[in-house]
Amino acid sequence: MLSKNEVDHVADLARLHVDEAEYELYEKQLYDILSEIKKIEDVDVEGETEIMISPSTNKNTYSNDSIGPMLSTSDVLKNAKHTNGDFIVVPRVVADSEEI
Amino acid sequence: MYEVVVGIEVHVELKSNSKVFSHSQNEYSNEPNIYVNEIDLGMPGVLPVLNKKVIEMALQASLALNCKINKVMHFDRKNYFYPDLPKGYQITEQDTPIGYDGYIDIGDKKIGIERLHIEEDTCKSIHGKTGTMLNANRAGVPLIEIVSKPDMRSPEDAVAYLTKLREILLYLGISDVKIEEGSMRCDCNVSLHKPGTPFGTKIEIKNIGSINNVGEAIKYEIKRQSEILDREGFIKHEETRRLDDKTMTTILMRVKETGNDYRYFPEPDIPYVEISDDWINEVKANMPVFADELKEKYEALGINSNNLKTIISRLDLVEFLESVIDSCDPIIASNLLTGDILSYLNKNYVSINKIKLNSDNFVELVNNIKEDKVSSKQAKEIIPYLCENGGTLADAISKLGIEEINDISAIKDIIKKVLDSNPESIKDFKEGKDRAIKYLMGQVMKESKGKVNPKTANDLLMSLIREY
Amino acid sequence: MTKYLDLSIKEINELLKDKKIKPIDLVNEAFERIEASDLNAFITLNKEEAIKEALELENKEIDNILFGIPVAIKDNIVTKGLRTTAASHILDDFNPIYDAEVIKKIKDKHMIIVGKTNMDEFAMGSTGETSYFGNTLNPWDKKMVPGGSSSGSAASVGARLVPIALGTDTGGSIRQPSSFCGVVGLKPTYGRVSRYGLIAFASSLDQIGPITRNVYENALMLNVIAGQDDKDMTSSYEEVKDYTCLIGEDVKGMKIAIPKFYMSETIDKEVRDKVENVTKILKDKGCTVDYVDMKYVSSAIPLYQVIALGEASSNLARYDGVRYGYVTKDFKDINELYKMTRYEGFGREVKRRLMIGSYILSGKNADKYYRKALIVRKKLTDEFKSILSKYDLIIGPTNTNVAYPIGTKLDDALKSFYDDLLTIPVNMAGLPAMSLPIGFKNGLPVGMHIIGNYFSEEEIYKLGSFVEKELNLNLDPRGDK
Repeated sequence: MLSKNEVDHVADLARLHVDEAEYELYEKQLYDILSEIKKIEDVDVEGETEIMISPSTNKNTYSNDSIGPMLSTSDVLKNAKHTNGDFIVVPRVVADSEEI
Repeated sequence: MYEVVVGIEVHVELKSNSKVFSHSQNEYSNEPNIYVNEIDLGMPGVLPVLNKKVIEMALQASLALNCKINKVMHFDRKNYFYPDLPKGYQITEQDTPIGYDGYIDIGDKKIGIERLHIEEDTCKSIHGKTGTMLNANRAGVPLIEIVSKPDMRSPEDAVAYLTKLREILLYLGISDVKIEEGSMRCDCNVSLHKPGTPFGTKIEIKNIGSINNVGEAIKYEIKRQSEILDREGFIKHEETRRLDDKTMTTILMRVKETGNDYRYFPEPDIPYVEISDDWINEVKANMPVFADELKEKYEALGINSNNLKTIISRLDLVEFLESVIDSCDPIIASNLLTGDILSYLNKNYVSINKIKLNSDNFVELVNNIKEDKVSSKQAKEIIPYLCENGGTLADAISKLGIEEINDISAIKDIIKKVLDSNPESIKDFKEGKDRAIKYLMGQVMKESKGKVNPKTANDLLMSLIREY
Repeated sequence: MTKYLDLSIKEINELLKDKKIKPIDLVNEAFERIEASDLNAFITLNKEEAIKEALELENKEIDNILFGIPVAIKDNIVTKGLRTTAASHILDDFNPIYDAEVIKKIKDKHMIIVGKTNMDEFAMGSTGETSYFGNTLNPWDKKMVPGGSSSGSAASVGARLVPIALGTDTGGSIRQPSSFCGVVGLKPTYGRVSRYGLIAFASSLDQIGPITRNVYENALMLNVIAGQDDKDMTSSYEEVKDYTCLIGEDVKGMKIAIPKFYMSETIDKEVRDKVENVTKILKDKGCTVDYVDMKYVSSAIPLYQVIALGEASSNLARYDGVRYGYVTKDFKDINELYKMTRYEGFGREVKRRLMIGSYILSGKNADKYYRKALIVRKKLTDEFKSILSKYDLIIGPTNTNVAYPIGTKLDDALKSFYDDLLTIPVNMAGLPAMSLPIGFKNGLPVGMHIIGNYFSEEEIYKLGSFVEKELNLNLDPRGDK
């Protein structure tokens, strides 16, 4: 079983609210899946160190530095629920914590 | 006494035509959400492409900063939630930065470069009263992040490092590197320790608005941190602060949590990039002439240090000067460029290659000044005209109504009038005070409204004064 | 009621060319069938637009065999101006501003899109039950699940509502429901079909593929959607073939491998018997069939959980209520906007997987689990490559069993993964594979898995069409026509 704190931690990483009634279920289900996942640690890879990110064998597939079609501002805003003029709007986030 | 240890992270916007992972235009605009496509918005189902030009620019920067190159690289996703980040992750190079382990020479010492990597910029946020407004024009603009080693030991080191870094990137022509416009952004890590003991707790100062302010921020931090260390012996938390440029003090933004959890993993949508030795050699062979070399050259030509500094800091002026330097007097040319021409450029927010003044009419002007056919007063009128309208020097002179008084008797009349009303100066001249001539010449030019040829007038003055 | 849609594509094409029928006849019939059906196979119908297109086609030259053929599209493939939901509340009003590359290709061939099919939410599930729009029923037995996640695509082809549908396959999502619904489903080689416009679940595993009534028509549809696309950098430059080219060729001399793991005790006995039956036929016809060892296939489930859920946690981060999709009503700050939007917008299976995926990538886990999984993936792939250097094809069952009753596995967080035990390894390696009906158990279809080498889908079709012809099964759940 996972603890309530552990459920809170992973839910926070995934930006998900958890309802009080759901904890019990998640504590068990997440534990079950994580127990399965831990088996990957025991797999013997016979000294292999190379990773396989993708089955694609492409490399150096570039695009050129050309300008393609862009959206009209109305299409940019079309599916957004909160807009102001030509901007998409979210609750005010303090300017101070801007990340790069 | 404490020693200060400084490391600097710089983000630089690259000026490719299109964005790094899409074909949207890479351009600044005051109009929001116009340079945007579905990829920049992180719409469901989209995939990134990879702009080769960006790789090339980052490779140029890496090599110019003496970095080693990761010849096989992949991209990674940096996962975090923030409204300016459309996909919920930023594509970056965590595992395999294109450049690593480089350095910059700042005169007497080398400042190490830890890494240089490519990543994408985020949306621009405007924080209004009712909410934060998002503009996706900037989303996906290519950035390189350059992380120094903690090798700087003074505010002066930091300023020298940034000045040099900026200059190199400017000369590569890969970025505008304008801090005030955000195309170059500096974050600074400052800590104090006693030499011989481990480094102290890092304080990060974010997004400092100018290179000089980086120096000021470090100076303030030295004072602030010293006081805390004297009083308490240690600094408890890592912090993020910002510089208030009115008071030149730093202000706490937040205490850093124990390690941000960015959940990096290799980006499966972008294949491996291999950088061949041929590509590296080609970039090396096409490196531009850098500022140091030009400085030596201009000094030898007698260009004064103020002008030199100004010119070296603007790539458009350098290129222009280089195109005329063999055809005219470099000193006059540098005076004009850093004087009236630069004023015109600054007033109109343009670069010199965007105006009508060109190397032909410029050379003509310099040569005429050199031969005293055009006075500096006249040049002041001519320059804005040429910048605005172009054409030949003769055109400008005739359009501006600048006509020289070439009639000798007319010039003599003006000089006689000046001499008659300045008997003191004649007396001074006869007593051997040379500056009297300068004063009298000034009066002659004033009287003639600058229309007499200065050399002719001077010769005439010298002969006429003796008749008094 | 007309029955043009019971004819083969070839026959329909002849009728169209002879002007005996018009595209509108096919479209009308498809909507009659869909509207009469209670399988809940569709989320959104494209009726008005489809009729308009069909009428427009009357003035166009019939330039290819799929001209005018109705097709159903899984609802995680974006269609410009046609609602695309991925069967999620969080996208239930999402109106795409662009077409997926495969949609462009389908439109180029003048096929007619009749609607968007039901599926497990964001393709996460193997029963169709995680859809926000309710579960799809199995056309062979409405008490049974149709499989998933391409539940609506497989069920609509199985029930003969449409002749062709597109599905997507991340760990078996085309092949498993195809097997449960008695239809032919192919997951092409990774990179064969552009993913541009496919709503990503796990980027390094996802692939779009055709679901059809028979092998030949499957190859026809692959011909339409295959090809390099500059917008998908993982799409392959490998030459596109005519995938029907080997259909009907003699299979004599083909070398076929069966991994022992695929015929172990975990697999239902009757299912294994069906595969054995096919094996016997193949041997009789001059094929070599050998049992081979595979070491890493047994790690498929944890391997999949780490890689697919890790990638998914990142791919689904964009559903945050800001630029599109559902947004919660009350929120006081950005964090609450995120957490409540995602809490209310995602179903439980998706939320569970996002939490696991985030956990796997966090802190030291990224090395311990994720990096390790990418190494195991390399080993598993090498193992497949080694077998396929000696054999033309690999066969086995598609699933451990046939379709099971609706509601059986809802509370078991692990069982939905175990449904994909035999299909997952193929996605890990990026190989092409097909599920082909080879018989019935208690009236429910059994699927055989045919796995090929990279970019050799035509070999799979060759063997598949041969087996199909030999068995000559009645695969119409409506009984005798």
